[in-house]
Amino acid sequence: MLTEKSIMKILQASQWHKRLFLATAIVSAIAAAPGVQAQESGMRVFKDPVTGQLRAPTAEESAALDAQIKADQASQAGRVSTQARMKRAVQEVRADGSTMMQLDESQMTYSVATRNADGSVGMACVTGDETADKLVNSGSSANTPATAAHSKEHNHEEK
Amino acid sequence: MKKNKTLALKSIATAGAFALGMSGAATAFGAATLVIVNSNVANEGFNDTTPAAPVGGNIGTTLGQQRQIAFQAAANKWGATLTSNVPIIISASVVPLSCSANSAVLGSAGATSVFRDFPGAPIAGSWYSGALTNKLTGADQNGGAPQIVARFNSNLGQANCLAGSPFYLGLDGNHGTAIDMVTVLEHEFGHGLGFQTFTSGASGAELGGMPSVWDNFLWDNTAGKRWVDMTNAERATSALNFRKLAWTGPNVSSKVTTVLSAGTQRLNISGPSASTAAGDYPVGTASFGVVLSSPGVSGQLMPVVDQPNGTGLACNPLTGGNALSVNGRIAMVDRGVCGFAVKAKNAQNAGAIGVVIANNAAGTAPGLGGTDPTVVIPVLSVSLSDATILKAALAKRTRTSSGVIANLGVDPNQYAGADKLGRALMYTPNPYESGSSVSHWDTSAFPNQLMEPAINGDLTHEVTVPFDLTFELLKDIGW
Repeated sequence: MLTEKSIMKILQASQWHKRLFLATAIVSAIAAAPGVQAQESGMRVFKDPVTGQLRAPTAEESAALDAQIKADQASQAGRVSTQARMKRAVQEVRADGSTMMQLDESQMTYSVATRNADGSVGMACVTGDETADKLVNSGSSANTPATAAHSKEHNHEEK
Repeated sequence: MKKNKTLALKSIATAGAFALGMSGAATAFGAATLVIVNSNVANEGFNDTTPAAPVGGNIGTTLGQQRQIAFQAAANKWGATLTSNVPIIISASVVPLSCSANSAVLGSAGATSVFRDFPGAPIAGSWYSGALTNKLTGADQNGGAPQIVARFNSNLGQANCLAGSPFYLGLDGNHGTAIDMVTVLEHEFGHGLGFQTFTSGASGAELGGMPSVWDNFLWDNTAGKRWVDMTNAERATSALNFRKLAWTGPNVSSKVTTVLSAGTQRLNISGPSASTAAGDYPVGTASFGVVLSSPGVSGQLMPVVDQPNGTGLACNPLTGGNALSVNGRIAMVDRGVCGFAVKAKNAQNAGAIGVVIANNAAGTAPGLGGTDPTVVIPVLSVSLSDATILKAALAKRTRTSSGVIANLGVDPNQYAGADKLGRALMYTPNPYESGSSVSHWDTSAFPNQLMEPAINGDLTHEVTVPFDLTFELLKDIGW
């Protein structure tokens, strides 16, 4: 039976864990570096969603913009097309005769939520980061949640 | 019975990450240990120190703590359900993900690696998720690396990130209009555990030229083949075969009648002139009109023709021959120009006892939106391809008789979300929806299931019979 001690041992022995430590340390160092702010310098133009006029963003709007930029950077960093990634995937034959393949984000599943025209929020689960980003950016309606058989259809259009 | 062995792990601060905890509450199903490894940096995600009031049984007092507890709750559910003597390690983080004002990635998860042809593999030449491989071999096959990676959105609900629709971090399911994080986590963890094919539904191409264990259980009712026996082109076609792709695993099949409700909404065609058009058709249902029921409403099917090209839109009150033909019968109306409810009301005003809307574009029968409480007849839709078959059968008719009988109702012997042989259906929308297809239950399943492509608001956190078929499918693939 597994004990707390044995799990700690597994975590500590893991090569992956060491890599994570290094990666985390690097991220932490970058986050603490004063020069990083300069990467986000540049002119910002904010369009008032109500009046359509350009104006300075409020603190809240500015924070949201920062978050979006960060998300976009994270999403685009090192991005390679799904096709290219699939070609790059390597099958590793192991000593016991088995075969292993590492997966990347093109094989992960993503839950995406979209607000429909009637204000309800629909959700869809899709495979691959590219598909998920496309769904978010297109604003396409995701699946519509339902609570009863009567309305249980994938998307209801009005005409 | 085993004892509950849920533990909490200490922080491994020196390694830059720490395990949130492990779960393995033993139940009649068994026990597995899920270790959630916090991959967030300081003050981010799980480490966010923003004060938060306890909610719905989540006793965390900071946003970060509440996120940890929600993740642990989802892990606990799977830990209490699955059996494995190898810890399932999930690298988890809550970070900014793609957002817009009206759309957002809630989160993602997936297996980090797959294995095939390992000693004792139940099915040779098929990919298994890392966590499942570890369970089946009884040993860690990947040097302690996480078998699952999960990332969730830290900005959800904030301005420009689906504002007003944040995660509900409570554990009681009382999420209201917010998005229940535990449910989304359970769904995504389910994929990471192996509830998915690694074969492309869009192209039919297998991962590395080899099928997933999943593909051994997919049976196309039209092709009469399993996915593993198909060509790439056949699989791509099968992924579009609306409500014709069934799961053949014995565990799921034996529990369909326990979990799903009897009765599938459908259009049945019969009558002396039906000929090859006779039979059942999948339908899109309407958000207005009466709910389809058994025995349903039957009558002669008569097309409305009010356009020069021979179609019938019924956007205006029906007159003359159209009013005569649909009176006391079921009207067939083409989609387009005006709302579905408008068409239905015009047919009803002419005396129609039901309406069949024919789609005007390729794809599945659309769900019919709209509101009109004065529509009191059943209304449904059929796909363009099915409408073409029906119109061919209606070609020879008089002004008041077609010899084609339509029944708008429910097949009481077919379970909601299963085929006529009682096998659960997988999601195969047409046109194809990238990634949503095949690795989910069909949306006709009722009661709603955790692993449908859309997470429905009435889901509980249960993953087992009698509420949910998810664990039965995982058992079919080896769990």
